[in-house]
Amino acid sequence: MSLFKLTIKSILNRRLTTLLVIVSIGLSSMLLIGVQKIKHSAKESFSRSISGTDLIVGARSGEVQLLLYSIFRQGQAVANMSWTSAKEIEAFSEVEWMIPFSLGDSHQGYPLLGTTTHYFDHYKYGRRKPLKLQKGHIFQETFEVVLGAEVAKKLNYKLGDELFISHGMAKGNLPLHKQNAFKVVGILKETGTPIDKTLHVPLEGIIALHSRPLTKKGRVDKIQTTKDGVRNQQELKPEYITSCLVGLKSKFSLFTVQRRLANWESEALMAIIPGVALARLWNSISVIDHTFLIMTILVTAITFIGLLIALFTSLQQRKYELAILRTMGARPLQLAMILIMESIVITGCGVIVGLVSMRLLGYILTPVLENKLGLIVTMSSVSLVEIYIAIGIVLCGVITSFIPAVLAYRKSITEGFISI
Amino acid sequence: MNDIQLKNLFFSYQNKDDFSLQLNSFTLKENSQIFIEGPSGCGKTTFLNIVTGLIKPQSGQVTVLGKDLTTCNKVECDRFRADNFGIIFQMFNLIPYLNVIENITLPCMFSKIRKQKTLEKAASLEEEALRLCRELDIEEKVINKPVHQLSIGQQQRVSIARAVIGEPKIIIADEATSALDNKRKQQFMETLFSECQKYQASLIFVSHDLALQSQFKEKYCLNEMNLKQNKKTHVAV
Repeated sequence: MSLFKLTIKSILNRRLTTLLVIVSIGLSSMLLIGVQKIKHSAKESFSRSISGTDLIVGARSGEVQLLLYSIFRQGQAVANMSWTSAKEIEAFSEVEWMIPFSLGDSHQGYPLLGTTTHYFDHYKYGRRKPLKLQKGHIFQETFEVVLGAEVAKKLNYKLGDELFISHGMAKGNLPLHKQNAFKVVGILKETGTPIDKTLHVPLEGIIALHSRPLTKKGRVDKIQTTKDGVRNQQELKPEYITSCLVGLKSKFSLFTVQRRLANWESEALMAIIPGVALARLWNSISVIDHTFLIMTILVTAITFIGLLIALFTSLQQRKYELAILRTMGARPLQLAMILIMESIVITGCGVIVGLVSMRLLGYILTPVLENKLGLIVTMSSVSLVEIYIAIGIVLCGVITSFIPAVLAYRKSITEGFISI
Repeated sequence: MNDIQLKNLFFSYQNKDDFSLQLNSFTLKENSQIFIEGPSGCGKTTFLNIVTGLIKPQSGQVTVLGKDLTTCNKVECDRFRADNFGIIFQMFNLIPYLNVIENITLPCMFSKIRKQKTLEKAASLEEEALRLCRELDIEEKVINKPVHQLSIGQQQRVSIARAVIGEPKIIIADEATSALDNKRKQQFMETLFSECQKYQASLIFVSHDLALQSQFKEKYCLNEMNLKQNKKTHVAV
């Protein structure tokens, strides 16, 4: 029989106490891993939302606000920017491409984005991944729509289906633009970004919707359709857009263009660097994350105090048992090792319980997090952070066990033969 | 050769001013069986701690099986004790969560020599433990049971088997019969003597039960030994 087997047998002899300590460590581990996983997923979701775009340009407001409504479809623009300015920016010698964004309408709570076909060519997410279609093609006509993966999945749309757009962003009973139905011509592949929740239509489609009368007795429809069904594109030029994404020929001109736009004379514009704005946004949110993390660490610390108490109690209960072993020839170090191994086994089991519970809870909570917060939490693999946390908790367990182990060591040196 | 030889021994605890153990000379001859008695607090346990190398005297010589334990370090003493002493405790003190076989083979976990000796006799430690069980009339149906489910008589025999496995040179029985009735005491003593004889082990039987001393040729009263050797020593009784 080995020292390890002896430790396991001793642990099994105190099943209930051990089980309670394991469950308590398991819950703490789950909490700690969960917080880190959500934080990691949130950060990942944030940072993967946009890449390859050098500047986001919009009417002068807050940096974070511009980022939030342009990329995350959260909130509303304070003001629009003129189409003329957007075209002038596109004409800059430093600018390689410009993608206009027109936001403000929605379909069953999912935001509508009016843009050009440039969007599908230049927009990148994650590690410079381009947008890809899982079905169909990108829009070519005014009343065609390309759906984000989640919109198609959740609303069960397929190619050829027609849908109506609501005015505004809220999910309630908003006035519908019932004059024109948009035909689904394409469905994008999943990106894990707000794009999955977006309906993409041509910029002209947005203009067409808002140029038509909203009521039967309202404004006169300016849009004419030719005999072959092709709409008069000349009539559909936008006056205003919400914002635009800009790609530069060279990164060196980034600050020059940014400064130039900050001093734009015809209207108050601002240009933000997505990476910088994302970092600022993350920092402002991470205060909550830090608070939560500190609370979790405190919970874990309390758990380890519980472990320490359990080890001390067990040390007291096993006073004679350890003395018997000592008298039989067990060295003080071997007795200390029994306690340390016991702690490793208990914390190890606790961590496994934590990881398994995290997985189980993850499978239940992932859809909720995705639906309510748009947070994609990956549960399939064990991340490096989880491994670090697991090792960290086991190490804490070992350190905690040092106290009773040292006491047992000293006691076994000073105390000799047992006489009961 | 003497198994144990103590000379000019003096020991006192740092935190106990009213106690000290002083023995000018003590000898345990090879294959002998001695009875040591004395009232509580006379130093019986301290004496055992010293001869097994668990504590060291302030002065004097402790030679066990030709080895001077006062010059050995703690690890050497622990190893020596594990290799050469079989110990039977009061209430037998078996490890409650181990079964009979695991309790019997426990000393082999701490002594390579006893493990080696056992494996020279049998194919495995378990096999030797089973043989000892048969020898000591421990029924086969109880060998896989946790020891707390065993009767007192069975526990006695398991504790003897644990002490003799690996054939240590010296068996120490510390107040081993204090919780037994007269009938069981006698059974225990008979088995213990027979096993010590069989494995040619010396026996130090420590007890304050004077009724048992008639079974031993050599008897020592630790209180008298202590006082006889050093009249000034005060022993707390």
